[in-house]
Amino acid sequence: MKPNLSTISLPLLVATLISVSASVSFAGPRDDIVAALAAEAGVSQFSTAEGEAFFQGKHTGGKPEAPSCTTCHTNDPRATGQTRAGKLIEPMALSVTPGRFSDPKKVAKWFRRNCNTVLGRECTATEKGDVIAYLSSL
Amino acid sequence: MLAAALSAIGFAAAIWAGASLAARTGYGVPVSALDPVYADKCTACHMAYHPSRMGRENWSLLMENLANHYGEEANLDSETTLALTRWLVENSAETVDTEPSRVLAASNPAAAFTLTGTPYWKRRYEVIDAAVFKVKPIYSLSNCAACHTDAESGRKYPPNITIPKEPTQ
Repeated sequence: MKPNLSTISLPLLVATLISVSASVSFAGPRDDIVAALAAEAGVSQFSTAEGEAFFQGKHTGGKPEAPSCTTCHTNDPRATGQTRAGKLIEPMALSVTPGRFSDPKKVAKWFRRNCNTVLGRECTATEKGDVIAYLSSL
Repeated sequence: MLAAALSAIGFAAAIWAGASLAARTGYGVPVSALDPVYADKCTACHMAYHPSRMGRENWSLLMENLANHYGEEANLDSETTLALTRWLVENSAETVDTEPSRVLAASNPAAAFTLTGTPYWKRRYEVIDAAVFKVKPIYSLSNCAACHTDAESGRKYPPNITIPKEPTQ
């Protein structure tokens, strides 16, 4: 028998949704990634403002044709980006692409590659944590 | 003129070499399906370039140098690198009987390969204003699939070309 939505009361539906979201919201893989970065950086909290400045800023030391995160990701993290080879990149903002920063291997790989391209070096744990904080805040 | 004559000779030679017209894959028919691992691993930064668009020695060279992949680090684990190299070589330009594959198989295997740097590519695309390639969503000469809707099939059938318009924001 198909459940008939019209017979489910609104308060019950709301209560169900709240309990479902509460049960999945703590200690997810994203929190583990952020906690590991915080431990490495020796800080208790990351800065969305620093993350924004880093993400939006121009850097030196990397490839001159890619001086900023925004070169490929655009200066609106909610927008679709494009690599220099033309491939589209899903928006970085967690609000638009909810799966972001949930796979530790993927996070490590792309910070390594992209920091090398933009800055010519690996990013520090503080820089990574701040950027994740910024992109999660949008 | 000389190039055209040479390519005509090459074309004739390919037929003479035993590739009968009837044995050819039909126009517009995909050459070989993309390996799922290749389609997954190699498309984060660029479209899936079909293996038949480059010679086997070029593929081997490229896969040996993923640490400096067109200026980017693109390392894969050794098992994946080995498996993909094998698949790319097994489906390289030499294995396919299409005009571009015949020409591209003959490219210099000693040098890093850039399709858009070949005389063949330049000749075929000289009618298109360079500015067209800068327009989003094309953005890059490497983005074949922006216009060739069947690029990843390895065919690039001319009627499947659509030059996109720049989106209005």
